[in-house]
Amino acid sequence: MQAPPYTARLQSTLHRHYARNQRWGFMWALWTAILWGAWYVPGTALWFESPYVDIPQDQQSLRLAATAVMTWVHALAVFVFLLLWNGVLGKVGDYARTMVRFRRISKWYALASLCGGPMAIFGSYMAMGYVGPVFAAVTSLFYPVIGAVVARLWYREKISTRAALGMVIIMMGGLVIYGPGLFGEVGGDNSHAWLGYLGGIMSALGWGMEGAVAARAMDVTDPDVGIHCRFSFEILFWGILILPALALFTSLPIGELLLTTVQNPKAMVWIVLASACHAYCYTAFYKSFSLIGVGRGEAIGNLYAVFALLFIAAFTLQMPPWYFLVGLILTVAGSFVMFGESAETVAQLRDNPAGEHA
Amino acid sequence: MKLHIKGFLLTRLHQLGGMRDQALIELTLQAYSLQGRYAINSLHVALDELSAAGLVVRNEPQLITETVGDILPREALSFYYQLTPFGLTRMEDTGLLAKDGTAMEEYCA
Repeated sequence: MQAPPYTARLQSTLHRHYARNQRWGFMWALWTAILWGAWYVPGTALWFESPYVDIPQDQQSLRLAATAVMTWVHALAVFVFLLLWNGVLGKVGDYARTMVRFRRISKWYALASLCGGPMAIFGSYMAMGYVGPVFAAVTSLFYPVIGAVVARLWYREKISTRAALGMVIIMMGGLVIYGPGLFGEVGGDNSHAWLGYLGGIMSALGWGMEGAVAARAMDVTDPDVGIHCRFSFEILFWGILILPALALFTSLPIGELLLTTVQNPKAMVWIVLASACHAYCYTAFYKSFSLIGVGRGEAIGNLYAVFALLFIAAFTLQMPPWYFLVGLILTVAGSFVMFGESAETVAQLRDNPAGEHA
Repeated sequence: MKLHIKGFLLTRLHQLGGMRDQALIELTLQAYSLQGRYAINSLHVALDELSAAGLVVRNEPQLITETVGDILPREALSFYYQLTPFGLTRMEDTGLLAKDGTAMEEYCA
C-alpha cells in the first residue's frame, strides 16, 4: 500500500517511534543475556551445597532427581519474584484473567513451560551428565535457529537476510568460546553417550520451541503476565506430576532432598539469587519477543555465552582462555549486524498482506 | 470475570471496526478503572506489540498534543488502529472471536 505524503516532521517522529520500540526490544534481549549469564554463578554454586554436594558424580539417577527437586524449588521462588514484579506493575489482575482462559490461551504457556522446563532443562542435564558440560552449552547455542524456523513456519515471522546473518555470527561466536572444550568430551569411550546427544537435541528443541509456542499466546496477552503463567504451569508440572511420580514409583529420596534443601540456608540463598536472575531474565526474554520477534530475541539472548564466562571470571578470578576474545568480538559484531536492521522492518514482525502506512 | 486487557483491545477493535488510539485507550481506562500516564503508556505499548505481531495495523498517523490530568501536555503520535485478517484468525484461535463472528463481551464467564 502506498504511504500518503507525510510532512517531514511526522516522518521523522514516526521513525523515532519505530526506532525506540526496536531499541527497547534489543535492550530487553540484552538484559536476558546478562541475567542468564549471571544466573550461572548461583546456579553452579548451588551444586557445592548440601544435599547436592554429597551426591557422587556417577549416581546419575540421583543427580537427575536432585535436579528436579532443585528446579521445582527454584520455580517456586521465580513465581514469588514475578508476583512482586506484576504487583508493582499493577498486572496481577490481568494475570488471573489470563490464567483462567486455559482452553484457548494459557494452555500455550503450559506447553511453553513443558518445552522450556522438563524438556530443555532435563535435556541439558542429560547432555551434561552423559557427554559433558561443554557439549551441553554448545547444543543450547543452536536454539535460536529452531525458534526462528518454527516461528517462520508457524506464523510467518519475518527474518531478514541481515537478521539471519547476525544470528549466524552470534552462534559462531558462541562456538568459538565453547567449541575448543568439546575435543575432550565428544567421542570418548562411553556406551551411554547417545543419551547425552539425545539430551542435547532435547535442550535445543525445547528452548527453541518455547519462544515460538509462548509467542502464540503472547499475541493476545501481556508478556509480563505470560511469563508468570508459564512459571505457574512449570510449578504444577514438577510439583503435581513429576516429583510425586518419582517419589511414588521409584526409590529416589525426593522428600529427603526437598527437606534438606529448604533446611539449608546457604542452599536457599543460592536458589533465591538464581531465581531473581532467572525471573527477570525470562521476563526480559518474553518482552523482547513481542517487540523484535522470537528469532532476534533468542539470538541476542545467546550472548549469555559471553556473560556467563565474564561473571564466572569475576567471581572465581579465573581468566577465560584467549579464544574467548575472538568469540566476544564475533558475538558483539553479530549483535550490531542485527541491530543495524531498519527500525521500520522490525516494527512489523510478520508477513502481513494488510501493510501499514509506515 | 473481565477479559484480559489485550483481549479487550482486540474485541473493541472488532466491534467498532477500527478506532483511533486516544478513544480506544480512554475506553480501556474506564473499563478497568485505570488512570495516569503509566496506564496510558502501558496501553500504547500493548498496541505497539499488537501491531508488531501483525494482529492490527496502524494507519493515519497524526501528531497530537496529549494531555493527562495536570501533567504538562506533550506532543505524541496517534494512529488509527484496525484488525488485520491475521488478527481475526488469531482471535478465533484464542476464543476471542466465535465462529459466527461475534466477539467476546467485556465480562465473560
